[in-house]
Amino acid sequence: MVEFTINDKQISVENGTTILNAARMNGIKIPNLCFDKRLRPYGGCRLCVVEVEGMPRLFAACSTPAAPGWAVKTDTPKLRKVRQTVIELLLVHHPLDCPVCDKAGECDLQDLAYEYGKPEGRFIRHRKEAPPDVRGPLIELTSNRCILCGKCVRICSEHQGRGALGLIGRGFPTVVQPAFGEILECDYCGQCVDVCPTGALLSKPFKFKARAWFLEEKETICPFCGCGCTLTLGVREGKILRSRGKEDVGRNKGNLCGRGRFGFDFIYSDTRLKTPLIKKDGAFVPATWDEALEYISGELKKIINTNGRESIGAIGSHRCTNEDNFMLRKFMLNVIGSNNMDSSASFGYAKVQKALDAAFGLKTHSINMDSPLDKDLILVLESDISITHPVFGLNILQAKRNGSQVIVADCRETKLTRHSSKHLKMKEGTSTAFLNGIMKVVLDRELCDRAAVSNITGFPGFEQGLEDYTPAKVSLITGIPEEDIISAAEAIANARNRMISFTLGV
Amino acid sequence: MAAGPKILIVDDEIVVIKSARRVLEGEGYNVEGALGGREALLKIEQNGYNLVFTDLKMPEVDGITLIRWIRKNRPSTGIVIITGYPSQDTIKEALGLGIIDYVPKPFTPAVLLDVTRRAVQWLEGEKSEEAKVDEEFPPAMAAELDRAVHEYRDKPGALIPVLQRAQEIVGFLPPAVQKRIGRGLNIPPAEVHSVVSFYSFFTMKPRGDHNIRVCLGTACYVRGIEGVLGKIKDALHIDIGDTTGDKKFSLEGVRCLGACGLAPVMVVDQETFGSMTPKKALKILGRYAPAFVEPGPPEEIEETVEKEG
Amino acid sequence: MSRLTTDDLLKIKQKYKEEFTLREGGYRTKVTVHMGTCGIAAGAREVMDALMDEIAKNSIQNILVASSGCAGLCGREPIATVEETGGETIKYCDLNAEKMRKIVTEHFIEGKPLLDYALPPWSDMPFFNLQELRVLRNIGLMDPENIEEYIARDGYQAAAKALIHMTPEEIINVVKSSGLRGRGGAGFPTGLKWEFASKVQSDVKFMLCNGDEGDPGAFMDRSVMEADPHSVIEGMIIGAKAIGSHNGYIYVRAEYPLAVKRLQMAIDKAVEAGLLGENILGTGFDFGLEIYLGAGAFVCGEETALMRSIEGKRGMPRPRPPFPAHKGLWDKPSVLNNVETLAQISPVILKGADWYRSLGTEKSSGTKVFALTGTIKNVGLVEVPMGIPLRTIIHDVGGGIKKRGKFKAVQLGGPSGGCVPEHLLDTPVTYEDIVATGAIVGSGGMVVMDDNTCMVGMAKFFLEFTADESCGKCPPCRVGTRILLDILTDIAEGRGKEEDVVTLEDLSRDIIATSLCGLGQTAPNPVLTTIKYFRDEYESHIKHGWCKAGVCRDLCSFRIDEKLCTGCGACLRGCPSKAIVGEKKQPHKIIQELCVHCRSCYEACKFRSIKIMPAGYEGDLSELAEPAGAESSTKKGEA
Repeated sequence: MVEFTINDKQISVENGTTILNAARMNGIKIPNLCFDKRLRPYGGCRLCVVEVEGMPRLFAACSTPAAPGWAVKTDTPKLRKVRQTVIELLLVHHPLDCPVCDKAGECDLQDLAYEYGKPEGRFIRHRKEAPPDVRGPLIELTSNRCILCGKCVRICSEHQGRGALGLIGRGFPTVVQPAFGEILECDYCGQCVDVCPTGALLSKPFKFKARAWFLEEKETICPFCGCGCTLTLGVREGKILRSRGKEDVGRNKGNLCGRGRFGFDFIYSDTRLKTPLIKKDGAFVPATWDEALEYISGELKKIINTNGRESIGAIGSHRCTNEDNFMLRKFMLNVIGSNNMDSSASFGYAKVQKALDAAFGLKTHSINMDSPLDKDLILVLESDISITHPVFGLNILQAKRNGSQVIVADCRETKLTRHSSKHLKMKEGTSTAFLNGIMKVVLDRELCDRAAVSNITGFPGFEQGLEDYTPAKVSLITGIPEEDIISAAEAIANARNRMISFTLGV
Repeated sequence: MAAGPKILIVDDEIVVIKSARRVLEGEGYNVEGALGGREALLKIEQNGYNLVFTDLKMPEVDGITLIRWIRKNRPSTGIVIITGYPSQDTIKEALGLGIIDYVPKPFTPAVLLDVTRRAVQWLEGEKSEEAKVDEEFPPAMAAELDRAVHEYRDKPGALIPVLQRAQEIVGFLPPAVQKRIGRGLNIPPAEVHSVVSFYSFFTMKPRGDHNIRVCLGTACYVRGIEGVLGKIKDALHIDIGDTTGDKKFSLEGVRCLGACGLAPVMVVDQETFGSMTPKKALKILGRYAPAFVEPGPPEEIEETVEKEG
Repeated sequence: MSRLTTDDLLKIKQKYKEEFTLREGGYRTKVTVHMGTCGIAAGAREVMDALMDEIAKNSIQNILVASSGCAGLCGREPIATVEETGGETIKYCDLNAEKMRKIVTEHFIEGKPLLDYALPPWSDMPFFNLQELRVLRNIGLMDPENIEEYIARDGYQAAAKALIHMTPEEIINVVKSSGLRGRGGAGFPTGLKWEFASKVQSDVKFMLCNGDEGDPGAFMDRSVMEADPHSVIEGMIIGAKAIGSHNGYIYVRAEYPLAVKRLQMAIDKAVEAGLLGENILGTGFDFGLEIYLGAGAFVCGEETALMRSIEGKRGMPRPRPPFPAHKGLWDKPSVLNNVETLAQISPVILKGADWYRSLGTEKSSGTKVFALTGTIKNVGLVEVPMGIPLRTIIHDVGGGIKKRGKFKAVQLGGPSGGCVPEHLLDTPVTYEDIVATGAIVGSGGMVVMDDNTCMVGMAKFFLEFTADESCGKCPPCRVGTRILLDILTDIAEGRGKEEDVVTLEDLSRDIIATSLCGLGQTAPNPVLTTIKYFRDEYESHIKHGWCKAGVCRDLCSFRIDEKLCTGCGACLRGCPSKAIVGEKKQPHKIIQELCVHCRSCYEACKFRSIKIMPAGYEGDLSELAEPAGAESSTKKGEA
């Protein structure tokens, strides 16, 4: 633990914690523009500089680890002066766009200028004059407003693993752009929009819809995939105008994918049902809720009387919340009196659930969003998790950055294969053979505790079933070289903490 | 191409010509032969050929001389070299002259047919703009690029050395080259472009035949490089970073070549010239392209001024 | 060559001593043609060819022809050094093929040295006799492409000693006690840097050499890399042992192709001889070395930026802490040393800390190599003990100002440094004393300026450089240097305002306080020092529209003083715009409307009759507040 003070307040943090993080943990604010919790410290904006008693230099709080006994000051006349100059320099070439810029009201540059800036700048120079890049469908890049904090480039490259934006050029003429100035082609996750401290990167669908201060922010859960990310919706007069991720909020900790950020507009689809509809004489006719409920209960009673309770079935959805599905089940059991229930999950997850139950006796298996982070080895099977469950996929990428081994067995080239420690390129649909081959290697080479394993019910038959799946045979079936199968098996078996991950696609 | 492509095989050994003709005519190509460079020149001047295969080592008129002639006088003719000595430097020199590909000697029929097919495809691609695909490289150039990527692929920090090699091979780094390198090294194109745009040595614009580098270091500044630079800019009508319209010269400013003892310093291609004055600079450029020597005041002044140095 | 043992090293040394000492019955004469980049550019190859040709033509025996790197006196290249048994060493300078042929005939064949073509004897030339050659101990005295010659000059003895007889702690202690400080500019104690890295636990550590000498006007490192590459390699091997590294890189800027070639050759030969690579000298110590080429970015001379560059990324510096000794290249502990620092390691190990301290001062021990350039007579590379007064370097070693000029200032430390005016020339060259003047010792670039230099123009020149080379990561440097440059340009072009000087100083201080790396932290130094010592020039530009040095074209005009003009016509003949009229032997006149302010006439006039006036000045020359065209007066600023 490191003991030191910030503004005479006693602070105690773990070794290696930066001054900025220590301050954040203790409710002390230090201004910054280029810091994001998810990214490595950049030290580029120079606003977070702090004074340390007895040292002539200023230190960037975002990247300087706290040292024992230091007396850090975050707000002195000298610091105010230099921060003022930095803001002044940033504003020299910054366009006077606030009246037409969506970011107004929640713009870091605006806020910092308000707090630290000068009423008048000393330097009058030409503003930058690049036209905004509006070619893409979702993200607009207005380079004139960019202050080159680098967050968008870093979040796309370091965090998202995509690297669609780059710093092009050197020194003053540097701009942020996609490669060669072409149209931005990427995952369209919109993380860059959320992370940009100015109005340089904006959501096109949200453009000119509302001022930030008119928006009411409400949180909800994204309906698109099993990640269950928290969306922070911007609502005005009952209409959802935008969706964003808020730092540290939700299981997703502020990360969102393109569907979460931009996909809510289906709510306002023209073809969405706005009232219940009842079919009369072959055509759907709008009805009130009372009319609809009357009709439904009437018909259900009729059917129970004529055909019996068991003739009624219900199909739930893995897109409904747990609460909705629970109510449906309760209704069917307690009100209808029927056990005929199924859901779209039968095609996928329900099968897995059944298998888990049969093999391991696990009735449920909930997934912890952070589970990749403490694993030494992650095996991904035929699953493009960066598309099916993007935010969970981010944690797999983070695990790789932290040093985990990520083995991806997939016939395709996906983002995960690109970032994997090893990509086992296999033929489509050969996962079973692959896994059997792994298990056979583990058993044959005694990479497991044979004694413990042989006691599992059904083991002899299980081992017999694996006989054919020699590395040579498996290699023939899957197309993966023998030595790769063997080394994968060894890696998996020898890892202390391991995880196997798969989703729709296996 | 309307009728099949017309091919000329040039070699100083009749047996090479005969065997090549046998293989290619068997596939329906229209083939003629020329024994040695001189005969080739005569034939090419009289008839037009779409594709010329030539050996490099020939007596009297050798392959490089022939290629230079063809590039100048029949620029639309495609060239493939047949060579028993494909060293890196030979290939680089030939690539610089604009060959499509090379066939190592001795060649099997399969190899010869393969190269011919690719060369014909390349020629067809060149002719129709519509058929131009995202990346177009002569097969030999593409092979060199891929070789460079392969050599460095598993070395950490590979991007910059590969870009340096690629710029040597191609002369500059257009988007197509950067994308190919990015794919080979598993680096997103935006990051490749980001690195290329950071370093002064990399250029995305083609350079001229002769690259002029003017040293902008302190010693050279103090000794008057600005005058030299101004004179060059005026004479060539270009600014730093540009290439002349006729692609003869390109101009770069370099931050100190470290030859301060000879300030002011200018480098053309690989040669360093010291103690520059505006007049001297023009004279040196004149060596590379006579049109640039301007008449000035009589020589004696220069000597008077220099003597006091 | 097969792998060598320590005995082999001594045998080679012995062999060279016997074979190549000039003596009767062996070689009588040795001619070394110096072929560094400067030499070759000046025509050394033609000189060498002529020499070989003449020797062959005349079948001259007993003469040994050698080539080596730079001789140090770059302004007089091509140079050839002639040593004879029983004779004085003669250095022929300003050679060409024709002169060389004459020398062969008259000196070697007829025995009559051509002293007209030669420099005065070594001992009589302060340029040479005031120098103490430690870093430059081998330069110009051996063929850098021959590893045996290096070995013969005690090469790899220090590496052998360090690997076989010393522990890492002992090595570090010797270097610490010697007081050797990094010669790249920061002046950080080398031993301390090695100690930090040696204490960090890591399986992989990197030993790096900074050969990215980006300072314009500096070529010390280039000369060492070209002329004595093995000294660098040897220093790195010793450093690697000290910190526990087995992998090294030498980062060389691409603008130095000859240095790259010689270094690579040296590495290959050292590997072949078992002096580098696996199991060096049979000790079991491995150290592999690779060259990484720069790609044209001054900022890559900065420690963390250089490491980013080796990683194949943009050379944008990282904040420190964490320091590279803990997390450097690929986040592994790394030590980056300058070429000049590394070249000195082997003598320090062989001869000890006390020997090193025998020159220099307490806090700045040893010697420093300076690249002396600018308007000075003896342009070249000099190595002098730290603590020597600046005046001695400039007037004695450097020979004083060239032509008829008068000393105005010397720029130390390149664009990161500052200018030192005349009244401070007695300042001893130590890290602390120079910093006290506002400048820095830096990498060793020393550009001498005479009264033909405009200090505002110099500040503007340096800012043009730093603004262009700024990596762009942090606003103080990216925008700040641009603004400083804009203001200086305004001043130089006649748009300066009263408050500009204060603004420059204020902004400079903020840029220094907040910039992320050394580039931004030092970029304003030229501005601050020129304001400190030449404030009157700024005021003259702003208030009077007058650039007294006649450099800023919009702020000066030229007039011939009829009282002094002899009518020789030199100015008329040299004027590119034909703006001068006059009869022979009659006072000439400059037509102001045609004059483009190129200064050709001013420089051509032997009689100092051309005066530099404020732009558009029509009054009497004698009424100008200061004598025009002469030295600018310097206000005595604080020392």
